[in-house]
Amino acid sequence: MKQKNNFHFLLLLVILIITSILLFRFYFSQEKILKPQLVYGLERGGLIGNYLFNFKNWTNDLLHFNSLRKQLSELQYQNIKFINQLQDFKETKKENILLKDALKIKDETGWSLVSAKIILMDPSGLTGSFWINKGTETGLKEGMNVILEDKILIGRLIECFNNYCRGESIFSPETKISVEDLRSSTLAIAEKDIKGNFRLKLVPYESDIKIGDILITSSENTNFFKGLLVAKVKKFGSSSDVSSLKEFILEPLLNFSQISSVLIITDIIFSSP
Amino acid sequence: MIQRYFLNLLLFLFVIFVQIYFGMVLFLSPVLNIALIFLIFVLFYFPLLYLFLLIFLTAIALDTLSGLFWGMNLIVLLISLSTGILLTRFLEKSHFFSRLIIGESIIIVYFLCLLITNLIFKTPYISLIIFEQFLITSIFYIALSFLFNKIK
Repeated sequence: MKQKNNFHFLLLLVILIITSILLFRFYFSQEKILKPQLVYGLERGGLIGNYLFNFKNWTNDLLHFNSLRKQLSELQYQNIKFINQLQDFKETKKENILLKDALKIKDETGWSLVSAKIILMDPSGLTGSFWINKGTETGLKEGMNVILEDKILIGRLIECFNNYCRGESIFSPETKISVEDLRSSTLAIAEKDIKGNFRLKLVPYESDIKIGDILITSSENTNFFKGLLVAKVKKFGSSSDVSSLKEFILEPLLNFSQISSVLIITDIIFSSP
Repeated sequence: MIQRYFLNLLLFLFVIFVQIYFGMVLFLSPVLNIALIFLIFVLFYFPLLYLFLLIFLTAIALDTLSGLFWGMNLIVLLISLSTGILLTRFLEKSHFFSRLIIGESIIIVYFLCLLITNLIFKTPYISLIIFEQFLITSIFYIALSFLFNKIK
């Protein structure tokens, strides 16, 4: 009886192995078809999904109640600071308009932008990828930069289908961004450390970088446009290797839980990895 | 009989839906893997061919939305649940405790495979997140197993 059972099990195992091989062959050949179809299906059934996502954000806020309260008080303090600064800026604005008129400077950016909606994000928490509801039919291509309305860098497109594109955020593994300090123009590299924090590396020891400084993408990047907002310097972090270089821990400006609409810069296509 | 499969399939679709939308993150962070826990329970209560169908469907969803390459989740799920099948065959004595161990072993193998895959692709900082995910999933699985046992 036991031998018969074992025989049945072995037979089943052989069948399973053959099925697995066939499954693998089918699975690996269907990537281009299965991916957009699944995204289409999920987009159609996204109404309940949005409720789930909102519920998740709500529970997340509830669990981080204290930090939200702290952030609120910090924001109120910053708000007062900004109101004071606004008065100074009004004077600068007048001066700027005058200079602009005088020199007849054209508007700087002039990027062609396409708006899209983020419909899905990585459910495993390990890759930081996302899907948008526009694809090659709207002229999107791999390598294009994805930003927010206020020029905050989200990431870039890495895979495009007819109606959908998959993007890779700046939180993706092994992302390295060449950044520039907006105040002191110091160049450095922003990358993830072993704990998953964003770190500002290769900062010369004598450089003038302060806590709260804003970092933008520099012209050294091969994947990102120059001038996009990346992160804020959060605190000083001790360098593990060369003593002549400083390191800082950064706070990304991107808060993804509140994002749904994004902009894609369609002007220049960068090479995909 | 068919009703049982139909209800299970509906529950599976709901679980995948919750996994996708409730787990949606862009910041790399630990996420509870309820799809894996569901597959473990399917392994215990349903035939293997049905389990393979569900593995296939789960892999399509996870490979589309995450994964370092296409097929990564399929391979990892097949390895971990095949380990579970072998353990069920050779170790299980229809006792709750052994099922708990088998389920935990599947979870360990699954996250170990994820860890190795990520180490091969040179992303060592994800190790901590994978470990956290492993802890969350293990604890949730144990809690769910005890709950099921109580209900029974």
